Amino acid sequence: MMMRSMSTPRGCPRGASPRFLLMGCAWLYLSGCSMFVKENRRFLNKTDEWIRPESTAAKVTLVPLTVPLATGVLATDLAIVHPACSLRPAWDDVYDLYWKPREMDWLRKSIMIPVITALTPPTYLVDLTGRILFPIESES
Amino acid sequence: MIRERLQLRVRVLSRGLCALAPALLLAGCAFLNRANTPTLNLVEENLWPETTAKRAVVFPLVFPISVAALATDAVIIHPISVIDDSARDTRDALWDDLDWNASYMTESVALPWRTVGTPVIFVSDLLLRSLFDVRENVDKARRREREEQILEILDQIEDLIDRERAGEAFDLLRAKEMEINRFWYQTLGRDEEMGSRHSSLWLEAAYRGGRYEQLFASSNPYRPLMNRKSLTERGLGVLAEMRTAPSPTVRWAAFLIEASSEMDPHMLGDLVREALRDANPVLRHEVLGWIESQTLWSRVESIENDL
Repeated sequence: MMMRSMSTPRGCPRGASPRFLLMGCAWLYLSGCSMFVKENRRFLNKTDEWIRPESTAAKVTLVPLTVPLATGVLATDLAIVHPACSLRPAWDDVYDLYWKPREMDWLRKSIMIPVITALTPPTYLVDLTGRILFPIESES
Repeated sequence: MIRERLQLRVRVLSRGLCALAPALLLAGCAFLNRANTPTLNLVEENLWPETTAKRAVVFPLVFPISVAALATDAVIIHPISVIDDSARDTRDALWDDLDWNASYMTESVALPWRTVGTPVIFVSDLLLRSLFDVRENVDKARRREREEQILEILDQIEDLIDRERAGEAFDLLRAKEMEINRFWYQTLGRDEEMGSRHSSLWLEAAYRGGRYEQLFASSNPYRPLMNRKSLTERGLGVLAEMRTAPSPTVRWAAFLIEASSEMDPHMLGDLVREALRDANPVLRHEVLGWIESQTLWSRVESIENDL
């Protein structure tokens, strides 16, 4: 009973969290997770270069060790490396969208500045989240 | 309590089946295709009379037998017959592109997901194939069968070359050329590896079988397709041999193949310089002609661009 009450958040129906997690995974899978693209798995690609057992026996023996290790590396890619690498492209998107110098008269510019200043943080966050989750290539 | 639950489940199941039945019929049920109902076909062949009067008489007997036959097809025969297709689909979807040598860690990450996904994909695929007439997959299976036949022919040709019977290999290639090319066009040239192997075998059979004149004759439409990129390692080895062959015709053919590849201008320059230093004056003359034609083409292209 104690375990059950601890594992289920208050106000959340029992079994909802795994269901949401599963739905989230399915949604990511169907829409193409960013980690499906080799270029976005920077750390894992590096470990591919570092860890290369040659014999089949070594490959098989190492699997119990490398599966959790590689999963951790992929999680690092997803949670740290890829988001960190997406900061700049996300900013470039926001810059292209709002801040890129355009031919506009002084009055319009002054009207637009507060609007785009207000819109910049949410746009940046949405773009960054999109880039972290999905394989979005930057134009550059 | 249990009885109520059971009743509810039966109600949900029967409603689900009622909803599924028209969907199956509309979406192309597997049993609308005669190829998927072998037992019913047997009943039809052996128990269904030809005349209408006889049919009317035996109908009350044949009808339940036919339903039973159809049920056997649906539940046993057809699902069993598509197990191998589903296994192949699962293999293609999850286990086909493994590269444990180059990406050991990446494959390690994917291993648990693949393992978990295998029964899910296999069962879903089996259900799909059991319920619906999956035409696309039938075509795919046929194409795969065809591909296996072509690979067998290529293996046979390679074996002949290895046993120093290159002339026979060349003749076999000529005989099977239409067949191989038809497959190539049908698959829109997707299998590059097979294409490279085919080109390389042509080159090797022609060179080792002394048939290069036939292969590189201007009447042979296959010749222009050859370049460095369209050759395997083995083919490139043959090409390297051809460049130093005693026959100027072979050296000329090797030059043409090399020169038609997209290469670095410096490498092309080296290739042309080497060919211009060839001992044979006719070959040197041909190379000069080739340079002239290339210059002419680049002029035509620049004029077209200007226009």
